[in-house]
Amino acid sequence: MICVEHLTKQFGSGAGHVLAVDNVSFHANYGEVYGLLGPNGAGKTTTLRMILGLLIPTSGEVTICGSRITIDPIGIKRHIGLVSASAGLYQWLSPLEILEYFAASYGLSREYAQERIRKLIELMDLGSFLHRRSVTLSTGQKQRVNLARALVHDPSVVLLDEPTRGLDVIGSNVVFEFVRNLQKSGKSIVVCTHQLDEAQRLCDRFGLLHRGRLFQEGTLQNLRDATGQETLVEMFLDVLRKPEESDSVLGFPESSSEEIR
Amino acid sequence: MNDGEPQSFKKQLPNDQTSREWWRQQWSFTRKELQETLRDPRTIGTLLLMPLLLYPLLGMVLRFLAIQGVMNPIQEYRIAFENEQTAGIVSSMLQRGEEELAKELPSEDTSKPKSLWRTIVPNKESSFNLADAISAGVADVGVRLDAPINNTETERSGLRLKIVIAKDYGISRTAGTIVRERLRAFSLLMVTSINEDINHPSPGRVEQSVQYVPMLSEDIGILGLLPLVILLLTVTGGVYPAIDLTAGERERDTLETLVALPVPMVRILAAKYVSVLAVTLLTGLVNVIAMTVTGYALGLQSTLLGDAALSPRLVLSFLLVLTVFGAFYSAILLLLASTARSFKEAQAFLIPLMLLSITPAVAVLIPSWRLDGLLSIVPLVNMLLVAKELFEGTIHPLPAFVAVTSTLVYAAAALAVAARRFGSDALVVGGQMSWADVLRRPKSGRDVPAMHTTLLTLGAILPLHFIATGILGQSKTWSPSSRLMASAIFTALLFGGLPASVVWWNRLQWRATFRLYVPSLLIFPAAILLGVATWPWIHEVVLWSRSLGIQVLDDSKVKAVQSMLESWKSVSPWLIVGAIGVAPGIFEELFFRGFLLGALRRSLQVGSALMISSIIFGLFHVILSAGAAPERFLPSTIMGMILGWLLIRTGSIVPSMVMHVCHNSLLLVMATKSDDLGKIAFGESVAEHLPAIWLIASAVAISMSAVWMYVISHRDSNRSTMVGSKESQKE
Repeated sequence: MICVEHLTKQFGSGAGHVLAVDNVSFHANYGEVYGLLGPNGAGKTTTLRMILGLLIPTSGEVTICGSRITIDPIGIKRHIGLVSASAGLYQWLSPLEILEYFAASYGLSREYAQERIRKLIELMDLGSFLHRRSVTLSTGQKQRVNLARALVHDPSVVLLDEPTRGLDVIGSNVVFEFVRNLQKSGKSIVVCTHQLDEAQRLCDRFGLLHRGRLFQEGTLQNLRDATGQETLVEMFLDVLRKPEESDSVLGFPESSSEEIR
Repeated sequence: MNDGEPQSFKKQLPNDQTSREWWRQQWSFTRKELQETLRDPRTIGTLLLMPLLLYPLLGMVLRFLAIQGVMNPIQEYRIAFENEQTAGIVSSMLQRGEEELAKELPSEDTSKPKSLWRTIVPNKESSFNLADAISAGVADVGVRLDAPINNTETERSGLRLKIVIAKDYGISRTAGTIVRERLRAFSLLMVTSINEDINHPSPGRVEQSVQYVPMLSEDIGILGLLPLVILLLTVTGGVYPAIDLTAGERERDTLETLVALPVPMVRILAAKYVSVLAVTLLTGLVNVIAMTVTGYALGLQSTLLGDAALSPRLVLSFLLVLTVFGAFYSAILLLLASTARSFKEAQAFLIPLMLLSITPAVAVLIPSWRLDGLLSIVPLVNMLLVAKELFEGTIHPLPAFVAVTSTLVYAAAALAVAARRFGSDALVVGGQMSWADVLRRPKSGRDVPAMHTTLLTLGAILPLHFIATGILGQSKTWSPSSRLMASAIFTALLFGGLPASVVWWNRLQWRATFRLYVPSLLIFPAAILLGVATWPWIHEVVLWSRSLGIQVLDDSKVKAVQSMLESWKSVSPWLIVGAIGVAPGIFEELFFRGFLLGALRRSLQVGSALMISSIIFGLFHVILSAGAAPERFLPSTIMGMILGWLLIRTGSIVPSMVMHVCHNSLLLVMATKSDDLGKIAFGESVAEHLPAIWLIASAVAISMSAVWMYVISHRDSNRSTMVGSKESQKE
């Protein structure tokens, strides 16, 4: 499982500093899908990047399978798979070469890597374009390669950053099935998205992030009880209407409301 | 300092990968980068199309010029003589030699012009310095007599002639070859027919020797432009892959997944570096081939290279220089490209670099710029000078070695900084982190220096050490005690002060970086014993490396050591031991074992870290601007390994300091007590092996102290583990 405690990231110092993530804590158990939700600029991606070790937290701790990010920032990456809609592929490599490259990068033995790749080819149905250069693949095929790549080292935690951005209905459905499969196999999953309706279908528990702070957390029922709103969209719009009610919510930009669908 | 610190490196620095797995993984990184680069049509475009189009075009221009007479490859060479008398004699010799050669090669007769040379002789009034005339380009080649001509005995036994050639100038070299071939043919003719032609008294055998003079004229041969050509070849090859593999990762949105890998960024960047270097070298190779083929096809090889063309040794050396130069330039390219957030920005960084590097390339064309002293450690310039002197045939191995080593160190430092920049916050998040941020003092530090910090420190210490030894070498007028004091101060500043300022600046932990832990007191007897018992074997290693031909004993060096020992007789022995025994013992250990080995150990296997730090330690004892000591490489490297082993076993810097101080001090005491022992101490003893009994005693003492050291450190590390587990149980 993944456990995030008091994670904080401050960019810059002095008067011009920005508190991108402010004391965020949450966890995702095995077989649980946790949705980290919020509009653009809420701090989702920054949180994700700190978990991945791409950014050094100003304070706080992330623990995955007993590894701590403050102690072993490189070792902790072995337990994480990252799926990002924006991630590209190496255009001159074939899907098979890409999978082999990532398997070696995670230090898998040759035999185990072959077995994992064989399973993923089957799971993601990559067989028909396995040896083609990635530059020639369609968007859907690229997406499947990307999903397979994230799982090549069989991580116990999978982070999905805006996994359906730019995808059509079929593409989004592939992602949904992917997440359901991961859930069944007992992985801890964190989904970062501003697509609230999708998140509502996908996640077991939610953390609502706003200006770097978690202002609500729990199952959909917990959130409904706490906010008196029916849907996640309504909950966010409610916060936007009454910014003064929370100290953490300081002048939420009006344009951001459009980003919440 | 306290006793409770971790004793063993192994426990503190877990590394579960075997070295085979490590290399397999590194190869996988490299293969991916090579595939990415070499499958890209744009790389192949710059790699193949550029030279394929450029050289035939360039060749056609040269040929056109040749036809126009501007650069006639088969011209009338101008041969200068000191006076008319010599001109008369040598001209007839050349003419007869020419006739002999023509007999051997009758088919070429028709294509050759009637007269291959014309003579230039000074007026009777004016004096004519041949060397100056050739330097100034008045003539292509000069011939003068080395022995008086009116001596009848000499006339019988033969003549000695000196051929004066301008070394940077292809035409002069070709003219020199023509003269020498004809004189040789003439000499051969005389030797075989000396008794046959009694009516024509002949000068007999002609001995030749060559004197090279620098070319002062602005009209430098194309040969002199070769360093510039090397530079351009290297630049065109590496630029596109360097940008594509770094800024391209961000452009294609693959950087984030790359940075999320559980691998230190320096390893990924090392793979990218190998790929850039490979393309650079391939480009170089393709260029050389294209240049040679074009030269042959258009009959321009003698114009381009003179008589230097196409000797396999020269081509091999050329490729070697290209490799080292490419290694340096690729690292710089990668460093700049790693900083860029986009393709466009990377291009904006690299174009000024390319323009800037043309300046030193043109500057090394100045004949008085030679590869020695400070120039041998100036990046870029040093390798260009190596290339230049290689083609002139005037290169000396030692400055070339210094140039190559320092260039490789600079490349490693550049690569380490690139690794720090590549994948940093600024690139991943797209922030505005600038170069100023790299130079800003960090707010929080780590325990031991990171790889890039280590390599940068090494990159700074190497040239400074070179300069410091140069200053000490120049200080012959100083009193012996001031020189000793200066040496101690330099040692302290370089190996103590500089690393200390790095630790302070980066907010590193002093104790962890320099391994300032108090070891078990029981270790000290073993360290002292090792310190006093190792020298006989080190002496044998000096003899052995000499038997391998690493250094021919040079009288001036022996004299220098003798005069140094002589001068020390007036100095207090405490000062000598303090300056050359204790100071290096303490400060070199702080840097080489504490700082360097500790940092390398973080990223490498213990064996590789020990080996690399020891080799660097060995190199520092060789690269001295005041005179190199290649025979010191092996013994110093072996000492480095023993001292490093001591540190790894005990986890503390103190035992290796004790051993180093004891070793140095003992040798110094020996040196001041007896001249013979002094020669042994400074590695200048001729060849005497030590008595077998000394070696046996030394071996026994070394083994005993090693076993003792092993047992004590093993016991201590077990104890600290047990204490640790008890404490964790309490928690």
